[in-house]
Amino acid sequence: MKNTLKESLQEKLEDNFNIFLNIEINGVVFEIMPIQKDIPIIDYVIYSPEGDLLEVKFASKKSFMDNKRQNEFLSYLIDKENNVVGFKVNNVKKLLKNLTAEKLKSKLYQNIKERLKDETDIKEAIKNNIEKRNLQSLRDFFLSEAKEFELK
Amino acid sequence: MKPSYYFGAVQIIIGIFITIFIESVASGSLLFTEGILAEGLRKSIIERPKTAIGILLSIHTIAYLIYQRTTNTEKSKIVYNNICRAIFDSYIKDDLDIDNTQIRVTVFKAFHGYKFIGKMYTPKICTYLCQVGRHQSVQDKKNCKIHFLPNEGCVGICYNTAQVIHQEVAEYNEKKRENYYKNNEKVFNLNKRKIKRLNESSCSFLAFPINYFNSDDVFGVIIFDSTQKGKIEKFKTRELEEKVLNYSVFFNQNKDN
Repeated sequence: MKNTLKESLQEKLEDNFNIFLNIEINGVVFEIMPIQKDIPIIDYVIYSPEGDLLEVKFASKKSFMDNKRQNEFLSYLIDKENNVVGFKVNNVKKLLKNLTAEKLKSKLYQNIKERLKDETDIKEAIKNNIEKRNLQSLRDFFLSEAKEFELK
Repeated sequence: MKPSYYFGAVQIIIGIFITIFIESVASGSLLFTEGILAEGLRKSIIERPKTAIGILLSIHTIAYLIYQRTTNTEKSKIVYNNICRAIFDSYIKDDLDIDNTQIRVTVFKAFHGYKFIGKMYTPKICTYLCQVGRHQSVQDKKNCKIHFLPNEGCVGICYNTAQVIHQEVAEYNEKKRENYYKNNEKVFNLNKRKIKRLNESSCSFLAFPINYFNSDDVFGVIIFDSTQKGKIEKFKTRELEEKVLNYSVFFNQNKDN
């Protein structure tokens, strides 16, 4: 286990950004990997047991403007240009109940297609690719750090 | 012939013309042109010495600018070729699993200018990618004759997405050429005319965007291509990216051709 939640999540992000994923652009599937500088750097990860809320904020020059609620568990922190600059995970204990990778994925990804709907445009496809990697990292992080949330 | 020889020849010719012209103005008649140029023209040249000298000096200036530009391009080409060579030697040359005669490393730079594009081949100002450096171990070295638009080829797609792209298409087979063309057209948006002008029928590609230092501006693309499938994907991608980034000190942002 890592020393801090921040280090653990950073490691998961790096693992997920250092692999090729199949991304569809204009109907053709390409193997794509973001460049190194696109790997998000985490500014902080804070878990508040009282509110059962986990907040992740990436280091970014742009301050976040808005919370965009994705589903019961996940809200994005969005900047002025609609870039994701962090996450808020609500009801962490409920999210991690009966923990399996599959269940966790389906909970986190609820309604995700509404946000990542247009994959035909190159810019959208790339943006979606980065967001999917972020979510995968979050999933991997919860799977490895569930103990930290007193659930194992 | 070297550009310096051409420029030297232009300088000598302009020098001779100026000497002849000065002599002609002094004698009141344009020398060595009797029977070649019309009398009226000869007279008007002698009567307008400043214009004539101005034209000769303008020709000299244009020749000088072309010479400077050609020299700079030649110098850049050496640098880019060396970058390709350094990367090739570090990652491909001594790898026993890779047939290094089948792999090339090429640098494409983004330029901004007129291209004849579209179905009607109308001239339009656009960004396009042109080869500026290449290294391969086989001696029959050929340069890429085509320019890629930002949505064409693995190079163009890499430039457009600013992401690392690994892509493979069906291997080239002399008997099934049409399949190869169709595959490339579908995957890389390359038309048959362009594919035919490529020197190698590669089927495996790994492309890296070259960022201007660590900014979001993409200078161009460095691409590995091979005629063998399944060899390139084993490269240590992040290490390579780091190396490419280290070389960004030799790149510049200027997109004018």
